[in-house]
Amino acid sequence: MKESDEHIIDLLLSKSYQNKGMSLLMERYSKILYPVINGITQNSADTYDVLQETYIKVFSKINNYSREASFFTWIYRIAVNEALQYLRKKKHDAQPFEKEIHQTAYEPGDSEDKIWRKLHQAIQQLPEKQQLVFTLRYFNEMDYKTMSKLLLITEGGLKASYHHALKKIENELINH
Amino acid sequence: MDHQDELKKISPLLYEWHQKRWSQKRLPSDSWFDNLHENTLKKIEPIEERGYLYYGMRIAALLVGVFLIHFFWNQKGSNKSDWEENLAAIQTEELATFIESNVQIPVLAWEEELIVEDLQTELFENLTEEEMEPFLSYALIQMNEIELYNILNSNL
Repeated sequence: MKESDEHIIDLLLSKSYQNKGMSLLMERYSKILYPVINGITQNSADTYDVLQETYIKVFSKINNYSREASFFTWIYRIAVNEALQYLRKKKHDAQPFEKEIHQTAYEPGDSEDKIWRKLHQAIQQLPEKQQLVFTLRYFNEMDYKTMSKLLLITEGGLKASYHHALKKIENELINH
Repeated sequence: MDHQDELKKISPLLYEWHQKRWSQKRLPSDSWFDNLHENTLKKIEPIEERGYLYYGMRIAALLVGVFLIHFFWNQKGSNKSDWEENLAAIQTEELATFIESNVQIPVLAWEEELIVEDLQTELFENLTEEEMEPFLSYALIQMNEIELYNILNSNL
């Protein structure tokens, strides 16, 4: 995965093979990023737009990627920022959602949409690393070995993060 | 450990949600993603082209700017040189010819205190707009008053 990321980055940086690089990038990350963005936008059509904007941003800012953090972490940040920015543009006020997390706890009779929304609100409360690990494991069912290569974090560290993330989300949903 | 087992062990609630939710609500179809990828590539191409065009235009504008500065700088120098070296020999000659053939200069009692401007004004008063045209040229405006004096004086 790491080598492939390097390959994609090299293609994106070379003027002649940028389109090839973009194709590989989208092929690799669209299905991983979809639940991340959709969790924020709550809407498939909006997710489409945000994903597109995310890729355009990656394409135009690839020179700014320092290679210090993992490539996926960098893309993930762009995706989340784009999603939040998109919501602001649409004049969706995020604050009531945040309040709602603290005001209403999960109830067994909640509809799927309500559960979905509360879950994503709870995810937004996690530190970034735990958000990433949770998303990849919970939504994408990615194994720790692959995730380790993607995020450049040890498998032990990932397991601990996932454990903490699950507990925090559960606590957030039940007790608030 | 399998993800489902792990999830069940750590958080039964999230395990339950995972079972409920994700088994029913999957990712969009492959065609949704294909469409996204295709449209994104289309959107990126113009940006790439615009990027080249943008930089190309910037370089071209810079080159044109340098050329224009160079051109006008030389032109200014050349005008000055023309003026100093050639105008008296060419344009003043033409002016003198023009005055001689077209203007009936009134006989004036030429006095030392008469300034060229007065003569120039009087001269212009007798000209039609069309006749005045050459006098209004850049060269004449820039003409040294003494040179004009000499021309007019020599034709009086």
